Amino acid sequence: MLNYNKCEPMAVNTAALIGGGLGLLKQKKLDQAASGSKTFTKPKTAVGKLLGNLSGRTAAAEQQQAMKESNLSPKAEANLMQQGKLSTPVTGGFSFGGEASRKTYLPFVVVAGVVAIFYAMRRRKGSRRRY
Amino acid sequence: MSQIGVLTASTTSVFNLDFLPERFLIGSTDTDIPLSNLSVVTSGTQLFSVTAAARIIALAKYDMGTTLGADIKVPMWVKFSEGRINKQTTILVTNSGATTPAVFAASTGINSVARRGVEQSINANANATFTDFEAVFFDPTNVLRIQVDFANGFSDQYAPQEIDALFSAYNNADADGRLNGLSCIDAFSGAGEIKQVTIFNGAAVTVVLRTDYVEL
Repeated sequence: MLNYNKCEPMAVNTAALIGGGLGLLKQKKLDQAASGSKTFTKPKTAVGKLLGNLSGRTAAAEQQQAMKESNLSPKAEANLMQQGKLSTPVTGGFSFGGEASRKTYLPFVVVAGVVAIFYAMRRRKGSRRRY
Repeated sequence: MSQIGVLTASTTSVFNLDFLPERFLIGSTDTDIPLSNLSVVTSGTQLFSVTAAARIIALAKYDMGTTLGADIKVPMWVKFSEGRINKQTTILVTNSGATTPAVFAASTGINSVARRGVEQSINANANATFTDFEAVFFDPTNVLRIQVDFANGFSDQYAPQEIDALFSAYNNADADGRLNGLSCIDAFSGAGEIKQVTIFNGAAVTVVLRTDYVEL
C-alpha cells in the first residue's frame, strides 16, 4: 500500500535553472553582437567586470571587437555578393507596380487617415444635432 | 579551441558544442579520412549533410588543395565557416574505419558567415539547375552534359570531360582532373564567375554536393 504522506515534493535543480537562464542571456547578447543590432563595450569597474562575465556582456564585447578584425575569404565574399544580387520579393504591404523591393504601408495610413477624418466629422455633426 | 573528442571505431559520434568552429580536423594531416557521414547543425540550421565517404574526401581535397597521386593522404580539415560562430552546434560524424583518431576544432577569428554543404539527387533522365553556389561536386558517370551560365552573360554546353579540364585548369586536381573521382565546378575560379549550371543526367541517379555561404 502506498503511503502518500511520505511523498516528497519534486526536487528543483535551482543551479541548473540559473545556469540555463544565464546561458540564454549570454547567447542573446552574443547574437546581438553578431548581428550588430547593439554595440557592447567591455566593463571597466571590478563590479562591472564580475557582472559582465555573468551576463555575457564581456564575451559580447570581445566578439564584436574580433568580428571587426576578421575578414571574409574572397570566395565567401563573392558568393554572398552573388546571392545578394537576387532580389527577393517582399510580402506584406503594397507595391506600386513592378517587383516589390521595399514594403510600404502608406496606403493603409492614408485610408486610416480618411476614415478618422470621416468619423471625426460625423461626431461633430452629431454633436451639433444634439444641441 | 583544440581537441574536442575522439572518434570510436565503426560508430557514429556526436559533438555538442556551444560554437561552430571554422575548421574541423580528424586525426592529423597524415590520417586517412575515415568518415562516411558528416552532419552539422548550428542554431537549428542544417549546414552540412554529406552521406558518402567519396563526397567527404572530395570536399576535403577541395578545401586543402589536393595532391597528385592516388595513395597520397589528404587531411580532413574541412571548412565549416569563415570564423568561429558562437551558436549551439551539433556535429555528427560516422567513423567507418577501425581507428580511433582524435577530433579537433579551431578557428582564425569570429564571424557570422557559415558554409553550407548539402546533397541533392538528380533522377535518371532528368536535369537540375544550381545557382549561386561556391562549388558543386558530382560523379560524372551518368551525366550527359552540363550547361554553364557565366556571370558575364555567356553560356555554353560542356561535356563531363570538359568540366574536368575546366576545373583542373584553374585548381589543384587529381590526374583525371577530378577530386577523388568526382567532377567539380568551381564558381569562382580563374575561368570567370559562374552564376548557374544545369546538369543533364542520363541512365541513373546522380547525387550532387553543393556548397555555398550563408549569414547566420
